[in-house]
Amino acid sequence: MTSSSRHPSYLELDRHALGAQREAGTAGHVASCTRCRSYVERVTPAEQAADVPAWLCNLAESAPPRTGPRLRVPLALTGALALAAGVCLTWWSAQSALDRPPAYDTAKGLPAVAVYVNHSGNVSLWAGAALAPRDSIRLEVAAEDFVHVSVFVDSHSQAGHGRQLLYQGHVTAHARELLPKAWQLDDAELPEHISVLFSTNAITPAHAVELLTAETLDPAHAYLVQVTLPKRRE
Amino acid sequence: MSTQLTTAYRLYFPLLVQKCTRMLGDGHEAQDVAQDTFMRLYSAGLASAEARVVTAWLYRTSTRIAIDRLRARKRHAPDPAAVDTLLVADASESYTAARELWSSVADRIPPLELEAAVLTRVDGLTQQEVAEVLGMNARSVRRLLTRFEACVDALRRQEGMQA
Repeated sequence: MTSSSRHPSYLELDRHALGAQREAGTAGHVASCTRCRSYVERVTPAEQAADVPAWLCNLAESAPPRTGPRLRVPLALTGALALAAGVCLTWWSAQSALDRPPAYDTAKGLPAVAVYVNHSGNVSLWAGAALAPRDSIRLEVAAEDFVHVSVFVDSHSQAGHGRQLLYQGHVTAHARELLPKAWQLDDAELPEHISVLFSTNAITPAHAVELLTAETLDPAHAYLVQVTLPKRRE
Repeated sequence: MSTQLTTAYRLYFPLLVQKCTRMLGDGHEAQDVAQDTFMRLYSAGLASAEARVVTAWLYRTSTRIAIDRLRARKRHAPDPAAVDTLLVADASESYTAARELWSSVADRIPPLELEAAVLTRVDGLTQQEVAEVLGMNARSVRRLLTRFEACVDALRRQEGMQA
């Protein structure tokens, strides 16, 4: 709700139509507001889907959905890894042995990404917590059938926006591989959006950007994992 | 066809079309973006997730796809006198009139700032709701909106000088 005297947001109205609203006053507002009631009527699910469009039939006949949502893969992955191995990689120290975690717990054939965080010299597997400015991160990838990886971070500044290429290189199929670079987070409080694009062959940065902005990716040739790293103020 | 798919279509496609229409207007483009977003929802394995999670995801994803569409439209100079319309707080109605204006500035404003502005000014979300949808805290949302206003202000001065 924007306020008691204003209309609820469309998101709140959508949730009201689905029976998932949070604000107690939404139902009362909808009952007394013609505009909102009319909107809710438009988005309230019908008892039965009237006409199923052709594209939905095609979608049903196409590849089944992933067993886990894309954005949850890194979290689920890191959780499983941490649970299974109690991982604390010390990859910043050349003297320390790299203690490999056990096999990724993910659906067969799905590439995945794990994030390691170095906070004041302590390295841990990222499990979704907000990171501090100047923490360093390093990625480990499980490329499955893919052999090349492109890593981008969304960059935002007063001068403009875009995607900054962090790393590109070959990776070993069907193996876990720690990417050879680490990146330090900046001082800005905005979250870092990292895109990891797996491809079946080496591609140029420009081609990678093209694929990132494509409406759909052919999973036989490219696969995208996106990770959002929230940041906190120190 | 799976029950899960048809159920998700029945639950979410109507609101998705409404959401895309608010941004892109009636017509094929809004339908395309709604369809694209729904297909991504299905392929992401989220179709049967909890409704609050799905709706937040749909708002984030459809906003981003729609912004990409707006950026792809042929750029034309905005009317400097009308740029202030972008700053109207409750802009769901005025946005309809100002849709072309948003198209004309979409490629001149950073995407995150634009996403936050669209969610607040077009969809009427509170800053807390925007934070939930974009996966950030409310303070970051406020910062994005301040930057958006600064961008619009700069744009207004720039276009005003060129006019």
